[in-house]
Amino acid sequence: MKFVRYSLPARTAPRRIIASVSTLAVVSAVCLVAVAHVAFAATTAPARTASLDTCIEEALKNNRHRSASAFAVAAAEAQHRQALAGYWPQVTMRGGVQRSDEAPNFVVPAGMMFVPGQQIQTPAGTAVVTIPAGVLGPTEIQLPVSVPAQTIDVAPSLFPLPAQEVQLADRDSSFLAADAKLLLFDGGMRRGWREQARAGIDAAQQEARRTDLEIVDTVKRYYHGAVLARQVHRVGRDTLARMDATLALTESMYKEGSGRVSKTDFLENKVMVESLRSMIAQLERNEAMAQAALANSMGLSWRDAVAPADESIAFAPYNASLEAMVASAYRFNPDWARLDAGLRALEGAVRTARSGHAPKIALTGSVHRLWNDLDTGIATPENKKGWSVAVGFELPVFDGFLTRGRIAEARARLAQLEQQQFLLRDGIGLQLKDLFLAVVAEAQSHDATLAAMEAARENADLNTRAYQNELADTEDVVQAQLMEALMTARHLKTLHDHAALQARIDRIVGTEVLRELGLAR
Amino acid sequence: MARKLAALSVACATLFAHVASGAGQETPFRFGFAGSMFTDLAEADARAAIRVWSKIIGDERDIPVDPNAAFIHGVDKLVEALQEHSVDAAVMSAPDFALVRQRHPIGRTFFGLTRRGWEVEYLLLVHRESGFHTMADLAGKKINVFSNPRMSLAEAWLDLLLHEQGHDAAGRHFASQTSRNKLSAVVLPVFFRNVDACLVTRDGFELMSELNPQVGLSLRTIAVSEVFCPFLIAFRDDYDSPHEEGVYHALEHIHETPAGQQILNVFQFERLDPGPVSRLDSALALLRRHAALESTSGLAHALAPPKP
Repeated sequence: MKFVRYSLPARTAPRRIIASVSTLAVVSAVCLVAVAHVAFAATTAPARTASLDTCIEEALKNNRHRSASAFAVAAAEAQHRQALAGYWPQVTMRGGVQRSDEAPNFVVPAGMMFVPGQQIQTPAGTAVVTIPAGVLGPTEIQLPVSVPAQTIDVAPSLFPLPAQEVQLADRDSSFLAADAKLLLFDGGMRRGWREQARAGIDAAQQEARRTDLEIVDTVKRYYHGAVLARQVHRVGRDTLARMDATLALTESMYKEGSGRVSKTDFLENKVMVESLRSMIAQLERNEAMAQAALANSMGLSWRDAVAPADESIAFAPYNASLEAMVASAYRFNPDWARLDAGLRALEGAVRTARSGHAPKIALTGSVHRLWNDLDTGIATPENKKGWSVAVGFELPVFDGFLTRGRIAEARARLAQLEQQQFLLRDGIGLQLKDLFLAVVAEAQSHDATLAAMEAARENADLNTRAYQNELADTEDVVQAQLMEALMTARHLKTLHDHAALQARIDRIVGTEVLRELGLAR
Repeated sequence: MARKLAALSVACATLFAHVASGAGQETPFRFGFAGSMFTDLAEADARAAIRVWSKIIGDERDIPVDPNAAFIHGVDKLVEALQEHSVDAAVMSAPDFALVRQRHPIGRTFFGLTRRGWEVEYLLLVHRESGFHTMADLAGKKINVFSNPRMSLAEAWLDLLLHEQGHDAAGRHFASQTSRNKLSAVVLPVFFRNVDACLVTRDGFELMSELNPQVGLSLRTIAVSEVFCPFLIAFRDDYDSPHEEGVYHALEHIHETPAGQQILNVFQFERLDPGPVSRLDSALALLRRHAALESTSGLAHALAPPKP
């Protein structure tokens, strides 16, 4: 055991160390940005631990945006059912019971009836007359009687007629009727509505899917941010503990030692350690904020905190080509799918507008039954029961160019959306290309920072062993330890950024593309 | 800042006073260091380092520790300190231990571990192009010897090696023997052909070769020792304290915190490992054989194993 050369770094060394600490602080600041998307005060509630899958599951369960999206899909499906209703006959039933204050009647007013003069001729004929018993004899007798032909003259006459009241129906009536209408031809109107409603469902489903992807993306990023914050905090804490011990040694040697450690050495060392300490305070805040942000993204209260179960972020590089990914993305991107649904809806709108020029042909029918105690007036048996069938048409002749205007509007909107589709195609491609290149660059950074971290670790180890064998000074060991911490933090940050970029790709194209390309994680 | 420092100093002073006075009237644990365990070192610097080390053990494990470790020069005073309980445990070299255990029973023992463990091997190196192949070739030549607690058995081993091959002891066999506490100052003169041979640890030489492969390629080993345990931490057998197990645990686990690692690093260990005294068997056998050579010293008798 040898304490011979425990001396502080040379004059320039502490500055180098401070520079290293500053760089570490920069990395920490970047980490802070990475995890501080949501500004929360640190919570005092103890954080519960949860895996990424659990976090996503809870977020999907609790998130209100997702519930809203589900209702939007349900509304679109209901609209679709409304559109399909036009293909069915519309049957209505009417009925009622009625009592009037009086029975309905019809009054024929009093008047005179003129009968013109005329001759009434009766032909000759014979009739058998039966004489009852006891008149001409004890038994009845039948006698033939002959009547000669005669002409009777009747003079013209004027007869007065009194007013007559006719009751139409009883004062109490009950009736039941059913009417049916079936649209036989509408010129494409219903098909247009149907297409719009179907596209509405697709758009709502894509919106819901987009919501899910956004939730998953947010949770993933916050989860990885929380892992990073904890890892960097741990690295910082360990480094501070080491440097604190070194500072304590320096202070002890400066105050009680042989004089080889001066006050300036001690103060420079203290500047470095206190800078590190303030940085650790920030890292601690980062960790608490990251856990609060993760809880918030899961739909929990601001008081809650969730600690990630994973101790580190796995590195899973992409192996697919950009072309394959972009080509597949057009099939799965929710924005693309929504726009596609919008195009189909507008095509339906054009069809509906065009139907304004076409005639509408419909079949109608009805059945009725009336219950009334009267059988005369209008309450005759014929009137009490009955049915009818009819075919009708409606032909628009002139509507002030309303239909033409509607068709023009629908076509213009369709053309507008087609142009937007071109823009979106390029936008998605460009966005994916940017992310893909960023992921590739981050993967290269991962390899480089991993190599740097391993080299720094080896360097620290070598310096430690060299110090144990009198081949290195304390300064070298301290610097190597700081460099190891710095490189570790950088590497952890690279892992986080790589995972965050992958989450963004997942959000843009959905995981279906990844599954298709064999890259599902 | 100044106020904070002042406040911190007061807090530390209060803490030390509390620890030194023995929290709750408890006797604090006291560490001792044999003088042979440090060379070319201002004792005050060592005291400062031990103070911090003691504070860390105390703070991390909540064990009252006397921050003023004793630095004891000479085996007699070391034995006296153990007998009078002015120290509870002491760091000592294998030769010190060989003498101390004859006069005071030893309890638990801990060993300082490096990457390779607690053993050490000695190498006698010459330049590959020097033409030296045997100890006889080195007669009247200049040799550098690495001065370090890990080398506590190196010269005894070299004397015995020379004796076995029919040569005088090292002091007479070589024209000059220079001790240096910088490994590079020991090895590089041989590399540059300014010195004929050097005696170093295998760990040290392999590390130098790793740092500068040319050194490894240019030097050749002409003798290798068996493995020895060069030093240890020994507790007095009658150490009895409510914190006894806590102290053992603290020493065994001090490497598990970054601060503890840093302090161990200052003392050039990676961890402390509890182990049996039998780890010193090869070292004690070497010392007995070496003592037998020095007929006038009476060491051979002194180094005989203690009677059960």
